[in-house]
Amino acid sequence: MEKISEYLKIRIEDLETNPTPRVAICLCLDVSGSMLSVESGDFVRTGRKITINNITGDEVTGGKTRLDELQEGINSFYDEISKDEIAQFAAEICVVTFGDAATCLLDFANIYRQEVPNLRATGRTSMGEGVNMALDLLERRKQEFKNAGVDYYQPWLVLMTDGEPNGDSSELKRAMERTTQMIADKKLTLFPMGIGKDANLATLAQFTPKRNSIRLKEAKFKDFFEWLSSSVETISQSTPGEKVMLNLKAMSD
Amino acid sequence: MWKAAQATVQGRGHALADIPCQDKTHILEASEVLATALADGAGSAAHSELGAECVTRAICQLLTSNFDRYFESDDAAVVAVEILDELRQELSNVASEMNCEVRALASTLLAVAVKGGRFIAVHLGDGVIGYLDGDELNVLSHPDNGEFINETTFVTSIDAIAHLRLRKGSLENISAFVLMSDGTAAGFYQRRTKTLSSVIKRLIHATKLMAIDEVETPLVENIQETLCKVTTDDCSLILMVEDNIK
Repeated sequence: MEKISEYLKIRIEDLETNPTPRVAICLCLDVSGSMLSVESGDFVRTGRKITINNITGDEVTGGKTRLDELQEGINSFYDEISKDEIAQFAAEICVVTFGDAATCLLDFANIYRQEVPNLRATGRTSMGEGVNMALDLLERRKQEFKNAGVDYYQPWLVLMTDGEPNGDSSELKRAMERTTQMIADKKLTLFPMGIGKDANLATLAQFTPKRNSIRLKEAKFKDFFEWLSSSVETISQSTPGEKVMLNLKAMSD
Repeated sequence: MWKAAQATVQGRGHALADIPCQDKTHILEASEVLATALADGAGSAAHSELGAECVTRAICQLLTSNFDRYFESDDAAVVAVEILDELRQELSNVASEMNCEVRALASTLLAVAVKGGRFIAVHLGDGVIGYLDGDELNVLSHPDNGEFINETTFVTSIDAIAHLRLRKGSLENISAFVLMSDGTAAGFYQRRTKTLSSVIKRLIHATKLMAIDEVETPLVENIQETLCKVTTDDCSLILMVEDNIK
């Protein structure tokens, strides 16, 4: 006969299995032609000039392009998240790129169901279109979480550009209004990141109510994405009322 | 005859960071009332464990001293305002002693009091209050989160009065209540179906049959061994039972 004290036993199989609350993160990335600028590694100037998106510079061979650095950063982001006990199940990543057009390169899913996409640079900087697509995808994912009874944290949007938006101006204005309102309503965390010296921080700042943006130090992509993954780990263990400080200053110029 | 057992366990996250357990429980029997309370201190509030301790003691004192008046009141809003004012006054006293702001003492609050076949329940924020009605385990008050899982309302929140839930009723077939923090709810409450784990019925049954001091130590150990493996948060639980088996 079972002892009464055995009734107090709690077995793992007695517990409810609630899905890990999700952190939806959309990486909204500039893949315009200027992302092929070489900023690091060993490179040699050919002596010729080259113009991309109205910016003229020295042509080089070798070295690492901004796009290469960004790609490595994203790879390390996935690696770091997959090492954390909770973040690996909490993080859901989506990648939207904007060049000549906005493209959803990778839709939301748990990181184990994803392959890190290869970025390709081309054409203009349709930033407004990219941000609007990112916001639409974030909204859709939140609705899917609600429908499935999955809890979630405030979603994140990482906006990275090395230049000046030159897509549809009405789309850009709409995107800026949407992010500004969502941030003011505490519905979105936005990381507006300028890459390199040509990024227009003033334009990026218009995506936020406090008009702030960050210029990422040269070749700091890996550091940024490592910082971002550790922030995902922190947020995915946060409890009600806990303020998680997301201080990006160390990454900036 | 009602009795209550309590268990509080520091979560792995707080143990690693050397942060004190912010879940607090309290039980008070006075004036023919048995009152129990549980509070979960806010993660970012500097002294939330003191706030949680303060409000659990204060609400038990209020419920035992004023049970009949609260129960018989026709205006729940007046009772809610009075309770919140009293709790905040107590927090204000602690804040003065600690030389800190009242918001540094933020916590949720769950409480149940029983007297003479009647009960009163108070709930603010997340966590769950359940009850055993006959053989059926039901939820009396579900977690109150915002849109995002790490949002909830605290005793110190500006909009607390809009979120404070007061329930009263006749016990009839109710023979037990269970109060749990959100850490405990991670394993004992199914968020999708909004139902409680059946293991709670077994814990209630054991608590009815055993002396309270025989229940509390194994309860803490069992929570440490299982619940604390599925959550990094603090876990607390109160089992409040009528000890004559029907």
